[in-house]
Amino acid sequence: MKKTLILLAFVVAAMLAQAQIAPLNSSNTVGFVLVTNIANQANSIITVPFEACLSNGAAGVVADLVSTNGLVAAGDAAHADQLVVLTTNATGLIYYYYWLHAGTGWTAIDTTVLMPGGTNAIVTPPAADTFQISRGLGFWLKRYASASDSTVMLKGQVSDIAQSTVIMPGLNLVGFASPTNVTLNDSGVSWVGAYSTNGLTTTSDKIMIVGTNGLLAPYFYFTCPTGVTWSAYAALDGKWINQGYVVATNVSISAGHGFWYVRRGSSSFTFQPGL
Amino acid sequence: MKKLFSMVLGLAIAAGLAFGDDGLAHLTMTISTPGPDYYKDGTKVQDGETYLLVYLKTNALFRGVLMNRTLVDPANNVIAAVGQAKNGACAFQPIQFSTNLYPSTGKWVIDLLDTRTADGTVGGLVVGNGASQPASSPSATAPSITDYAATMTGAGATLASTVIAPPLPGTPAPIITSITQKDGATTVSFNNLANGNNYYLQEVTTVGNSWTATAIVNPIPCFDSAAAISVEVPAVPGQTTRFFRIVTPLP
Repeated sequence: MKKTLILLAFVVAAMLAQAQIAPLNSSNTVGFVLVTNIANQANSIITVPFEACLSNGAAGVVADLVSTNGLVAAGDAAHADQLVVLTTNATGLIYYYYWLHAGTGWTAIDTTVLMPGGTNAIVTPPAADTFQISRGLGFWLKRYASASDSTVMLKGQVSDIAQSTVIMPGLNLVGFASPTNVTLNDSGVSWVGAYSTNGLTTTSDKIMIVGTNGLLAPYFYFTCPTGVTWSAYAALDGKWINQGYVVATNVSISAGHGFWYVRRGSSSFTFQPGL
Repeated sequence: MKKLFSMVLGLAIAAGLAFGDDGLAHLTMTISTPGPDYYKDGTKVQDGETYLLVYLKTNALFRGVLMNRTLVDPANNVIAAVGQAKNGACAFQPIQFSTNLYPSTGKWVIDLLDTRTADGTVGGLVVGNGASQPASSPSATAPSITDYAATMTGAGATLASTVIAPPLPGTPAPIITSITQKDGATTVSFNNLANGNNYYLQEVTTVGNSWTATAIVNPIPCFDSAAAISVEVPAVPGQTTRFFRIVTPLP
C-alpha cells in the first residue's frame, strides 16, 4: 500500500513537472506571402510586409525580401524580370530599376534622366544588397514577356514594430506592412493624418487600388463638412468612400499588394495604421 | 510579341479616368530592341553603333536624320537620348522623363543609325538610318506598369538602317578640281564641300550609262569644308576608260 502510494505520488509529481515545462519559442517569427499579379502581369503594386531576419526592426534590402524563386533570370535586363521602385533622392522622384541577373541575383541598372538641352543625367541605384525597402514602400514587379507564372514570393521576419510610412504631397506608392489581408475601412486601421476638405472628393486624399479586374478604383477620405450634422454624412465621417459617396466595404488589400496614395494635403504626414 | 519599348505607366483608359488630374509629373519607360538589327547591306549592327531615342511632338511625324546626326525637322522632333548597340541590338536602358519636357501627347521612335566609316568602324557621319513605328507616350494618369507592345511596330520589330541620310540643307554641289594618274591608280580631288556630309565617288566606263558602279563603297566624310579631299582609286586591269563623279548622298 505504502509502495503504491509512493508510486502514485511519483507519477503525479512527474505529470505536474511535465505540465510546467513550457515550450521554448523562437525569439522571432518568419514567413512568406505569395503575391499573385492581378489581371495582366504588369499591373501589380507590391509591398513587402516583412523586415529582414534578425534585423531588429531595420528595413530589409531587395536581395533579402523578394524571393527569386519562380522568376525569370537572364543574362541581360531586357529578357529578365525587373523590380521598379519609385522613390526619392536628393533631386526628387526617381525610378530605380533592378533586374534578375542569372547567376548573380537582383542587379541595379542605371536610369537615364532626360534633361532639357539633351545633357541627360545618369542615376545609379544603390546595389540590391544595400537598398532598403522599408515596410510599406510600394514597388512594381515587371515580368518578362515570356513569364508564365504570375506570382512572386515575399519573405522575411514578422515585425514587432508598427508601420510608419511617410506620405508626401502628390503620388505615393505604398502599402500595408501587414502579412495578412487588410480591409479598407477596417476598424483596426488608423488613418490619422489623412486629409479631407469637407468631404469634397476633388480635393481630399485619394487611394487608388488595383481591383480584381486589373483596373484602378479610387477611394476618397471623407470628413464631415464643418457645421454639418446631417446623419448621412456622419456615417461617412472618417471613412474611405467611392465616387458615389458610399462607404467602401469589403475592399480588401491582399498581403503583399500595394496601392497609390494621392496626398492632396499640402504637407506630408506619417501613415501609422497600427499594423 | 517582340517589343522595342517597354512603357512603364502605360495607358489604360479606365485608369486614366480614375486618376483625374492627379497625374505623375515624372514618368519612366525602357528602351531596347529585340535584335538582331541590320544595316542596309544586311550586315548585323556592330557593337557601339548609335540608336537615337527621338521624341515626336504632338501630331508630328518623324522626318529622319541628316548625315551630321542632326534632325531633318528639329522643330518637331527632339533627340531625347542616345543608346548603343550591344550584341546586334539596342542595349536595354531605363529612361525617366518629365511630362513638362516631353508631354504625353507626343510619341517616341527609336532610330538606328549607320555610322560606319571607310575602315568599317562605327562613329562616322550618318550613312543611313531606320526607325521604329511611333509609340504613344506613357500617360501621366495611368500608374501601372504596362508594356506598349500592342502599339509598337507589330510583327518583326527589328530595325534596319535602310533610309539614306540626306545631305544638310544648302549643301552645294561638289566640284572635282583634278584627276591624276600614277602607276595606274587614279586620284580624284574635289572641293566645294559642306561639313557634316558624306560624299561618294562613283564611276562608269561609258559616259551616258547609269552611274551604278561605285569606285569607293564607303562614305568619304567631310569635316572641314575649306579643305579639298583627294581619293585614290586603284587601277582595274584591262580597263581603258573610266569616268568619275562625286555624289552626296549615295543614291
